[in-house]
Parts: sequence; structure tokens; C-alpha cells
Amino acid sequence: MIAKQTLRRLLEYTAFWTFSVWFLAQYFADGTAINTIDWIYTLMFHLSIGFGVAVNSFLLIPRLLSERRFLIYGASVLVLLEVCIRMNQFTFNTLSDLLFTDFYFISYYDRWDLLQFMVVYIGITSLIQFSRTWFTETETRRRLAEIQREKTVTELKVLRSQVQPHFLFNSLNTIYALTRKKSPEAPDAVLKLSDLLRYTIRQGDREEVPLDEEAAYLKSYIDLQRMRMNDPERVAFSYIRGENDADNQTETAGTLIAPLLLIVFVENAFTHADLTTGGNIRIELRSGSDGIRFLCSNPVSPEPGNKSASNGTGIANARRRLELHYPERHTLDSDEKDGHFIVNLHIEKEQP
Amino acid sequence: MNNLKQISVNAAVIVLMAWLTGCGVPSVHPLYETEDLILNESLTGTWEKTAEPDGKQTWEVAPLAWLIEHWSLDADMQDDLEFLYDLDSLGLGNSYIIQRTGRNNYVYIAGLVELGGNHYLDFYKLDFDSDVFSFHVHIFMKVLHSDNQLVMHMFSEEWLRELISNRQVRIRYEESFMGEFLLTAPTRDLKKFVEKYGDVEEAYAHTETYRKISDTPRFQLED
Repeated sequence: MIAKQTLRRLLEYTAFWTFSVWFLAQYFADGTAINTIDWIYTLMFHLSIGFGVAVNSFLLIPRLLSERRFLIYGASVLVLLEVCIRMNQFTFNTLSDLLFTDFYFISYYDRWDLLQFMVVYIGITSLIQFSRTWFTETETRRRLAEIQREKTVTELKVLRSQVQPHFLFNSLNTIYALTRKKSPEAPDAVLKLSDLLRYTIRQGDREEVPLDEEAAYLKSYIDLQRMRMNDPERVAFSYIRGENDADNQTETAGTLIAPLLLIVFVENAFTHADLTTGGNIRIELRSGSDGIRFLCSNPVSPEPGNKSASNGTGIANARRRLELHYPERHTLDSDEKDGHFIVNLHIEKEQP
Repeated sequence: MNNLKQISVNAAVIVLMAWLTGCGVPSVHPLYETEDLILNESLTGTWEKTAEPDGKQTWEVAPLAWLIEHWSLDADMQDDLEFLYDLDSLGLGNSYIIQRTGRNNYVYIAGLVELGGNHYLDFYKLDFDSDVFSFHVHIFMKVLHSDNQLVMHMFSEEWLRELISNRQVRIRYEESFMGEFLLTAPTRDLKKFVEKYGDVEEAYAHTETYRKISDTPRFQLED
């Protein structure tokens, strides 16, 4: 996804500068046929222009203008213009003689002309950058609004699914049975149910939550489900932070994720798992230098038409949320293989 | 008709002359802006060409201001003086008037400029009898001068023509159907080109040397 974005940006740059070279070559040739010397002159002319545009676009705008340091930005642009003018003069007064000994170049334009060239180029590329930022911000605002709406709907759905009578009654029955037996697990079960409900309500307002909290939430849900099962050992859950490397663990400690995103897959696994087949439920969550990886596998009935539709609806909802939260930086694969329905999710780490 | 006008000979088209005689590269525009013009006192005087096989050739050289000062006392020179004032009002106060005598007799306005550490003279012929087929041009030469010697290096038209035909230089020019070559580059480009490549040996075709025979020029004006 990131490579695709980079490729698209590279194509844009290539198209812009190719057009620029062609356009200026036509201008410099002054209506006559464009010869080798015109192409060389035009390309060398672009050294100073390209330098000015690059410094402005990749340094001054992101570091100064976007930080609203207008005065420093203005002063920096003036200095940059002076540097570009001198660089252009140096190109044709000195550099051209070193690079192209068979050609006789001079700096045809005076300071005022060069200043106009630089202002036009830096101005045009700044406007392109501003318009691109404007489109991105508009798109982001639209996506955020949709996320907000989606989140509200999801919260309600998740809350409803979590407190659905079936789950709640089973959990309460489980807790009742544990208390009757005076089982030491009873208080823990109450706490887990309480944590689940609290997390669902509280995290609903947040854009992102620490992955550790989301993992703890999943664990509480899975533990509660285990308490109701005859054979809880058939559910495996693992959460691995980092890659067994101290630095990586530190690095991934602050990993964030959209709240209540993964519970959809876990809930699906329990709802549609057919444990009579002998298979197990396996849930793995891992954060590393490449982002977040999540795997959820549950056994399914070999009979067709029994589970795919239900699983498909849940995953379609989750896919939509992923597109809203992680556009162009996630992959979600779901497939049925060897009697198991397997969901594989990878959320790439956000590039700085 | 004033005397300066009478001095002018029946000139052929100056472009063709320059081409035929190889005196340099003709240009529509001068090598100087008027504010670039400088004066050097040692240039004033009469110079004689050395090693001239076709007989004696001399150059009478005087700054415009020098001529105005000397001719203002001469009642016969009032018409010419008016012409000099016209030149002065055009910003050419720091230019020279040069009269060439010998095989041919011409009068030029000459501008001395310093570019890239070298001195150059820009010649513009005063040719009042020319017709519509004549187009006045500028010819530049690099000059090395001391008190008693003046060496003029003529630019090589062939060198520049070859650079242009090989597409090794970007400079504006025109070429007639007869192959006559004329630079049309603006003064700004000419100055930059000469400033940068003024020391390239191949840029010069031949050299003429003059020695000073008098500190006081003597213009030979016809009646």
C-alpha cells in the first residue's frame, strides 16, 4: 500500500518535471528546433529550480509554514531565492565549463529574470502542494466524520452484542454456578464481565486506544467464554508485543489501535465455531516493527452454507472500519481452509 | 553638408565588408551600454599601423569630449560640433571618435569597455552616404595598449560560425541567403559571452599592431 502511494507520488514528480523540461526547452529554443545544447541548457537550468522547489516543498513548508511560523518562512524563502539565483549563475559561469567542455554556455538571464523564474516555480509548486493538502484534509475530514458515525453505530452494535441476553444470561449463569460452588473464579468472572462492559462504554469516545488495553479486553472476553465451556483448553489466545527483543518491545509499547476493532473477529469465532469437529479456536495478536498482525481461526462445520454467510457479514463490517481507519495500509484476508475459518489481518505501521 | 559627413567614403554594405575583410564578427547591437564606456588617456593620439604592406595606415583617436573642446574654438567646425553634441546627448560622451586614413578613409564611433579583465573596442562606422541597402553594424576587437603600442585582436568569424553550425553555442544570429553572418544577440548576451570567453585563443583570427606617433590626433577633414 505504501509502495503504491510512493509510486504514485514518483509518477507525479516525473510527470511534472518532464513537462517542465519540455516546456522550458521550447521557451529557451525561442521558436527554433530544440537541439542538444538546448536540452543540456534546460536540464542545467533545472538544477537551481529543482533545488529551490525541493527545499521549499520538503523543508520550509513542512517545518515552518505548516507550523504557522510565517515570518521565518518568508525570510527563509527570500534567502532560498537568493541561493537559487547564485546557484543558477554558478551553473552557467563555472559548472557548465567543467561538465560540458565542448559547449559554450553563458548565464543569459540577469538577477531579475532569474528571480522571476524562481518565484514562478516555487509559487506554482507551493500551490500544487497546498491544493493537494487541501484535498487530503477534505478527504480526512470526510473520513473522520464517517468514522465518527461508524464508530457510534459500532459502539451500539458491540454494546448490544456484548449485553445480548444470550451472552449476558450465560455469563450470569456461569457466575451463579461458580458462586454456588464457592469457586475462587467467581469474583474474577464478575470482574471480567464488569471490565468488558466498562471498556465497551468508555473506549467508545476515543479514536485510538493502546493495543495493550485492547488485548486485555479480548482476553477478558475470551476468559469469560472459556468459563462457560466444558473444555476451555480448546481456546488458545496469545498476545506478543515486539519480537522477543528488548528494543522492539519498547518501540511497540505505544502501539495504538482503533477500539473494539478486533472483538468482531473474536466474537465471530466463538459464535460460529463448530467445536464438534475436533478443531480448536486459535487467536494470536502480535505487534512488531512492521505493525500489528492478528490471526483468528475457528473450526467450521464441513457442511456448506452453515457458517460462511454469518462470518461474511461480520467481516464485511470490520473491513469497512479498517478502510476508514487505515486506508491503504492494511491487508485483511479471510478464507476457509482445512475445516477452519481463518482471518488474517495486518495493519502496517504508520510512516512518520 | 558637414565635414564629418564628407569624410565618409562610398562604403559597400558593411556586413559584406566585414565578411570579406575578416575584420571581425558584425553585430547589430554594441558591446556596451553607455554607462559601461570608459576612457583611457593614453589612447588619444595618432597611431600608425606597423608592417603594413599596402602603404601607411594611421588612426587618429580622440575622445568625444576632447574633440568638442578643441573644435568649439574653430568657427569652421560648428556643424560637426553640433553632431558631436548630438552624440553626447545619446550618452556617448565617453566614446572615442576614430579616423582611419590610408588605403581607406573611414570615421568610427568607438566605445572602450573592460570585460573580464580585458579591454575591448566597439567600432561603429559613421557612414552618412549609405543607402537602404546598407545596415550599420558593430565590430568588436580586443585591445592591449600601452603608452606607445596598441595591439588589436580581431574576433574570428569562422570560429563563431563553426560553434553555431555545430550547435555548441546558444547565441542569436542571422544568416543571409548569401551566407552573410550577423549577430543579433542583445548587448547583455554579447557582454557575457565576451567576458566569459574573451581569453579563448581560437576566438581571434588575426592581430594588428599600431605604434603611437603623436599624442595629438590630427583629423583630416575634407572641405
